[in-house]
Amino acid sequence: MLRPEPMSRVLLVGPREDLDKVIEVLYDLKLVHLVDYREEDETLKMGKPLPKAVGISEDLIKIRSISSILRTDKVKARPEASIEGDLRQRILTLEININEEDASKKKIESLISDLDARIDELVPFAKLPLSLDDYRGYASLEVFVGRTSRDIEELDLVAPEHDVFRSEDVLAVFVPMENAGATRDLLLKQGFSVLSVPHDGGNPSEELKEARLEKGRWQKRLAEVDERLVKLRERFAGFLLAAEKQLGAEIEKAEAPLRFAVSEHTFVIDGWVPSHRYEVLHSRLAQSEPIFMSKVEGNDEETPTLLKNPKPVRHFELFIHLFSTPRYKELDPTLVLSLVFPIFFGFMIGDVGYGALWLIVGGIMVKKLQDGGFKDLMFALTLGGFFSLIFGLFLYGEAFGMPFIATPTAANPNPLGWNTSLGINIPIRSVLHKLENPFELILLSLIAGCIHLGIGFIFGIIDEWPHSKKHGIAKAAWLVVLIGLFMVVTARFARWPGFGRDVYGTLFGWLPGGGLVMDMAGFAAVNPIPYASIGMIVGGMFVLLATEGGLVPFEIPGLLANMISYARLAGVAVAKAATAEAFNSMALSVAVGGGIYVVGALLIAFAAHFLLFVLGAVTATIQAVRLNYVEFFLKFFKGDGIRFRPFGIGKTQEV
Amino acid sequence: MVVATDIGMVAVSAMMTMLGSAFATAWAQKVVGGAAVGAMAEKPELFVRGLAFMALPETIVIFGVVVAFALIGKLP
Repeated sequence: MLRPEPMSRVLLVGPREDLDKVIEVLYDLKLVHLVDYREEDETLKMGKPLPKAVGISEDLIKIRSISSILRTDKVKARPEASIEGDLRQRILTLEININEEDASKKKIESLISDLDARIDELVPFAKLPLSLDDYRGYASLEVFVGRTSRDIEELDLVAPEHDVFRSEDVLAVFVPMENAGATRDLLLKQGFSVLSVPHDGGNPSEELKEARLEKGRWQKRLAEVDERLVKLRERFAGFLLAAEKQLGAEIEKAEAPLRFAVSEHTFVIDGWVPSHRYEVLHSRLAQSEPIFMSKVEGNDEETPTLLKNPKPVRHFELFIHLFSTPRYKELDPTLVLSLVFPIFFGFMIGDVGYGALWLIVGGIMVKKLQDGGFKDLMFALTLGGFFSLIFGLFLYGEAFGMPFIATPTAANPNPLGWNTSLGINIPIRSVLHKLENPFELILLSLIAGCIHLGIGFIFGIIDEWPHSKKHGIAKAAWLVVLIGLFMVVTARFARWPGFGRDVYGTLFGWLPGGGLVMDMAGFAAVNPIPYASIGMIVGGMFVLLATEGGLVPFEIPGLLANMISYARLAGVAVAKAATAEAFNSMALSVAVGGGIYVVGALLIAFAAHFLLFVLGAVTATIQAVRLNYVEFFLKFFKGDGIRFRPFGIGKTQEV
Repeated sequence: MVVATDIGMVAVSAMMTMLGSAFATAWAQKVVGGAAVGAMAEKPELFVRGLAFMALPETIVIFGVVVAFALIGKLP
C-alpha cells in the first residue's frame, strides 16, 4: 500500500530464430517493462525490426488514409470485436472502392469550381442587354466593360460620340478608336475596374442559366458520392478502428527487436518484472522454448515504479502521476492523498445539498465512464461529495448554503435558514456556522494542516533513514519544530473562550501547566506562549543547524507559512457560504412577491446553485490538490521515478 | 483620541489587507496565467500543471484573509 510493487530484473537469452515467439509471449503476458539496449559493441548489436514490419506499416498507412478520406473521426464507432477474414485482403478491397469514389469526388469538385469561375465571369454580362459577340470584332470601335460604383462624368469631353450601356454597377462603353486612350484614362481615374469579356459567343444570360443548371447537376452528383462515402463510413468505421488497433499492436511487436540486443545467433532481452509474477513468466517461457532466463542484480535508481494500492485508492494514482511518478524506493503517498483529498474537499464544500448531488452525479459518471483519467477524477469528486454530506450533516448542519436551524439574534432578527425562511423543520443543529465561526474554521484547518504536514515529515523520516541517518534526524527535527509552531498557534487561539481553549486544553492540557505557559513573551499577557513550544522550536533549530547546515533555520518561517496556507480550507468554505447566502437572500427577496415571482426566484436559485455546485467543486479540487502538491509532497517526495509500462499495453495516453 | 476612531482604523486596516493581498494575488496570477496559457498552447497536456501553478499565488490572499479576520476579531 505504501510501497510500490517489488520488482525483479530479468535477463532473457535465446536463439534468434525464436525471437518471434518470445515477442508474442511477452506481448501477451504484459508483464515485462523493457529496458532499451543502447550500448552496442562488437558482438551485441541493436536488433532490427522483423521483416514483416514493412508490410504492416504499409497497411497501417493505407488504413489511416482511408480513415481520413472517410472522415471516420466524425462518427463515434465501436471497434469491431474481431476482424473476420483476411485483414490485408479487406484493406485492399476497401482501398480500391474508396479510391474510386475519392477520385470522382475530387474530379467533381474541380468541375464545380470551374463552373463557379464561369458563373462569376458571366454574372455582370448577363445584366447588360447585349450578346457576347457584340463586345468584339470592331475595326473602328473600342469597348470597355467593367464595374463602377458611381456615374462616369465628362465622358462627352473625351469622346464626343459614344454609346453607354449600364445596368446596376456594370457599365459597357463603346467609343471610336481614336478616343480610346483618353476614355480609358478617364474611366480608370473614376474608379472603373475592367472586366474581361468571356471568349465564347452567345447570349450571356442564357449561358449563365446553362452554367447554373450544370453546376446544380454536378452538385447532385457530388451529394450522391458523399452519400456513398457516408454509407461506406458507417459500414467500415468499426472495421477501420479495429484494424488500426490490431495493426498498431502488430507493428509494436514487429519493431520490438529495436529495443533488444542481438548477436548473429542469439538475442538478449533486458527488463523488469513484478517479483511475484516472475514464476508466471518463467513457466511460460522456459516451458516452451530453449530459453535461458535469470534474475539479475538491479539498480534501485533504474527500477520502474508500479504503484500498488487497493482498488478504490488506485483512482487517486492519477494525482500522483500528474505531479511525478515516485521513485522505486520511495513511500507511495497515494493512500494518504486518497484520504486527505475527500476530507479537505468535504470540509470546504460542507453542505448536504451539494454533497448529495456530487455523490449522485459523480456516482453515475463513475458507473458510465470508461476507465481513464476523467473517471478517476469523478471518483475523487464522488468521494469528496460523500464527505461534504458528512460535514454538512454533522458539522455545519446546512444544505444549499442555508442552515437547517437558524436562531434569530438581536443583531440579526431574520437569519436565513430552512426553518425561518422556508418553514421546513429539519432537526439537525449546526455545530459551526461558516459565516459566524470563521476562527473556529481556521483553527480546524490549521489542525488538519499540522496533521497533514506531520505525516509528510514522518514519510520523510522513513524515506531518508535507510540511506542517511543525518537526513532522517533532520526530518524528525522538522517534525518537532512543526509541533512547537502548532502549539504556539493553538495557544494564540486559546485566548478565545470555548472552542479555541478546548482545543488547546485537549491537545496540550496534559502537559504540566499546559506546557508551562509563559505569560510574558514580548507581546502581552493575552499572548501567552508555552515554554514547551519555545523549547521545541529552538531545540529543533539546533538539530537542523547540526544536520542540514546554517541556512535551514531560515526556512522555519516557511513552515509557518505552510501551516497558515491551510487556512485556505476555511477561506474557501467561508467564501462559498457567503456567495450562497447572497444568492439565497436574493432569491428569497424576489419570492416575497408571490405568484410569478416565486417562479423567478426558483430560477434564480437554480442557476445560482448550479453555478456554485460546479465552481465550488472546481475550487475545492484545485485547492485540495494544491495543498497535497505544494505543502505535503515537498516535505518528503522526490519523484522523477520511471513509470512501469509493460510491453504489450500499447501506447498509453497521458492525461 | 476617541475610541470610535481606533475601531475605524482597525476596520480600514482589515480592508486594506484584503485589498492589498487580493491585488497581489491577481497580479501574480496574471503573470502565471499568461505563461500557463502560453505553455498550454505548446503542450496541451500541461493543463493540470498550469492549473496547479495558477493556484499557487492564492496563498497570498489566504494570508490576507487570515490577517483580516484577526483584525476584525479586535472589533467589538
